[in-house]
Amino acid sequence: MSENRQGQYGGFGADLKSVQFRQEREPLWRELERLMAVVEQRGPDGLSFDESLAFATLYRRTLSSLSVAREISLDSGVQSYLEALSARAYSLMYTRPNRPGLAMIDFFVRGLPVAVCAMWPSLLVAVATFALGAIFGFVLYHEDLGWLTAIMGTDSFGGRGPENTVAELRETIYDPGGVAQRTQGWAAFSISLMINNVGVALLAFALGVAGAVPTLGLLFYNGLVIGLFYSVFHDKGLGLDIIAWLSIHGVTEISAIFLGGAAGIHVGRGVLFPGRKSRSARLRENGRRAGEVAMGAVLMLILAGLIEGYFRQAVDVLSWRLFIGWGLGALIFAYFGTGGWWQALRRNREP
Amino acid sequence: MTFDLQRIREGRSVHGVRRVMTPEGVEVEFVLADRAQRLVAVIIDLTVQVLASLALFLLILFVSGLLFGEGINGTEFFSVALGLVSFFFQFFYFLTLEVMWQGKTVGKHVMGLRVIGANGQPLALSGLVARNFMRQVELFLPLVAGTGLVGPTSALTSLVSLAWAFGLSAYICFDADRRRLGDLLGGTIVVQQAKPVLLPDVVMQAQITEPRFRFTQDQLDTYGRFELQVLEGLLRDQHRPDQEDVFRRVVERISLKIGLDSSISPEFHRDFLNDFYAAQRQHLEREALYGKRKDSKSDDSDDP
Repeated sequence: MSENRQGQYGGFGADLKSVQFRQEREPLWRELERLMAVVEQRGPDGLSFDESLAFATLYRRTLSSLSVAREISLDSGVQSYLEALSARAYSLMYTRPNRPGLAMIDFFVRGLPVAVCAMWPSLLVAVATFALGAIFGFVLYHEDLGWLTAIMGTDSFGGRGPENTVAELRETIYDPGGVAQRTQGWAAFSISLMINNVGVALLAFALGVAGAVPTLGLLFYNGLVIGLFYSVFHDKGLGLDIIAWLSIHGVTEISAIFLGGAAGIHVGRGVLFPGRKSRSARLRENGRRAGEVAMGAVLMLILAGLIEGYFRQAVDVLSWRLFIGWGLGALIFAYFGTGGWWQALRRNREP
Repeated sequence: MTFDLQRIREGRSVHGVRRVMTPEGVEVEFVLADRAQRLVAVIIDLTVQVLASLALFLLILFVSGLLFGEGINGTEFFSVALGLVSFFFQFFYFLTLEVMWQGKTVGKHVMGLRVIGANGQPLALSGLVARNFMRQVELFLPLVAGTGLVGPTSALTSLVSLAWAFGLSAYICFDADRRRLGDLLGGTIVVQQAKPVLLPDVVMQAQITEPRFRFTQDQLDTYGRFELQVLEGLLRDQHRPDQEDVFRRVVERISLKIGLDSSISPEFHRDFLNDFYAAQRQHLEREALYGKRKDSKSDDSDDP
C-alpha cells in the first residue's frame, strides 16, 4: 500500500475509462438523436421498418449507457446528456397506443362490454337513483301541482303543462303536419340536444371525483324531470303514448346517462373506498375503466342523436315507436351482455 | 438529502423532478411541467379551438352558400354542420390530438410539454380518455360558471357555484407531481421535453499530451465527486469576465488543501486546473472500480 501511495498520477485523455466509454458509444447516441428527430417531425410512421427496429434497439442501449454512466462516469456533461436523451426517447417510445386501429376494434368488441359488466354494482346504483328520482317526481306531481313550477319554473316543458288540453298535448306527440314538415329543422335541434346530453353524461362521469355525490344528484334530478314530464301526459290519459314517444330515442339516451352515471359512481367508489390499494392506484384503475364506459356513453348518445334527428318525428305510429326504441334497447343490452361472456371466458382460461 | 432520496425511490417527485421506472428497468428522470406553463398551454389550446372552429364555420358557410344558395335546405345543412363542428371541438379536440400526436396538443407543443404515463407503463388510450373527459369539470365548468352563462342568478349562489367549480380545478396546486384530477384518473403526468445537448469532454478539450503537473494519491484523496463536477463546470465556462481572478483563487485553495509547497505562476493556472481535473477524475474512476465511491470531500467512509 505504502508503495502504491507514492505513485505519481497524471491524466491522459485516452487513459480515462469514462473517455473510452464515451468514444465507444457516442455514434449510437447520435444515431438515436437522428431517428428521434424523424419521429418528432413525421411521427412513428415516418420511420422505415429497419429504422424503427433500430430505434427500439438504440433506445435500450442508451438506457443501459445511462445506468452505466450513473455508476462510473464522473463527467457530468455526459451524464446529463444521457439523462435528457433517455427521457426524450422514452417519451417517444411509450406515448403512442400500440396500433391504434386494432386498439379501437378491441375496445368495441371486448373492452367496452367488459368495462360495463365489471362495474355492474355502480350501474345498479345509477339506475336505482334515476328510478327513485322518477318515482319521486310522479308522487310530487300528484301531491301538489305547485311542485312542478317550483322545480321546473313556469313554462316547464315548452308549452306542455297541466293547463293544456288533451288535444293540445296529443298534437305535440303526433304532429298533424306531413312528415316533410315535421322533420323540418329537427336535425339541427337534435344536434344541439345531443351536445347537451353528452355534456351531462361527461359531467356525471367527471363529478365522480367529488365522491360521486354530485353524480347521484344529477341522476336523481334527471329522473325527477322525467317523472314530472310523464305525469303531465299520464293525467290526460296519454301515458302509453308519451312512453312510446320517449322510447324511440330515449331508451338509448337514458341508458347512456346511466352509463355516464355509473362511470362517475365507479370513480367515486375509488375515491371513498380504495380498499387494499393506495387511493391513487385505485383511482387510476377505476378512472381508466370509467373513462372507457364514459366513451361508450358518448357513442350511444351520438346514436340516439341520429335516431332523434329523424325517426322521432317521422315515425308516428305508437307500436312502431315502441318497437324501434325497445328493440334497440334489447340490442344494446345484448351487446353489453357479451362483456360477461368475455369475463367468464377469461376466468376459465386462467386457473 | 436522505429524505429526498427516499422520496425519489418511492417514485414521488422532488423539486419538480420525477423518476419514472421504465419497462426496461432503468429509472429515467423527468422534469415536471410548471403549473404556469400548463396554464399557458391550455390558453393556447382554447384559442386554437375557437379560431379553428371559426375558420370551419366560415368554410361551411361558404360551401353551403355554394351548394344551396339561399334555400331552406341550406340553413338546415348549415346548422347541422355547425353543430357537428362545435360538438367535435368541445369534446374531442384534446383527446384526438393527444392520441394522434404522442401526448401533445398545440399548446403543449408550443410550450415544449408532453403527456406520459406516470408509472412507466405505455400511455393507454383509456388513460387519455379519462384525463380529457375530466376537462368537462376542470376546465369547462369554471369557464361556464365564470362567464355566468349558466347557473343561479343571485350573487351569493353564483359565488358559491364559482367556488365549487374552481375547487376541483385547484387540485393541481396541491399535488406533489403537479397532476390535475384528470391526470390522477388517467395515471398520467405532464413533463417538459428534455433537450439533449452533448458538451465536449473537458479532458479531451484541453488536449493534454503530456501533463505538466503530477499529483500523488494522497493529494487526490482530498476531494470527491462533487468537487470534481464543480471544477468541471468552472473549466467549461470559458467566457467569465473575472476568469483569471477565479482561477487564481481556486488554484490557491487547491494547493493549500492538498499541501502543495511551491506556488504556481499565473500563466500556468489553466494548465494546473486541467491537469488536476484529469488526474482527479482518473483517480476517482479507478477507486470506483474497486467499489470506493467518494461523493464529496467530507465523505470519509471507507466502506464500499
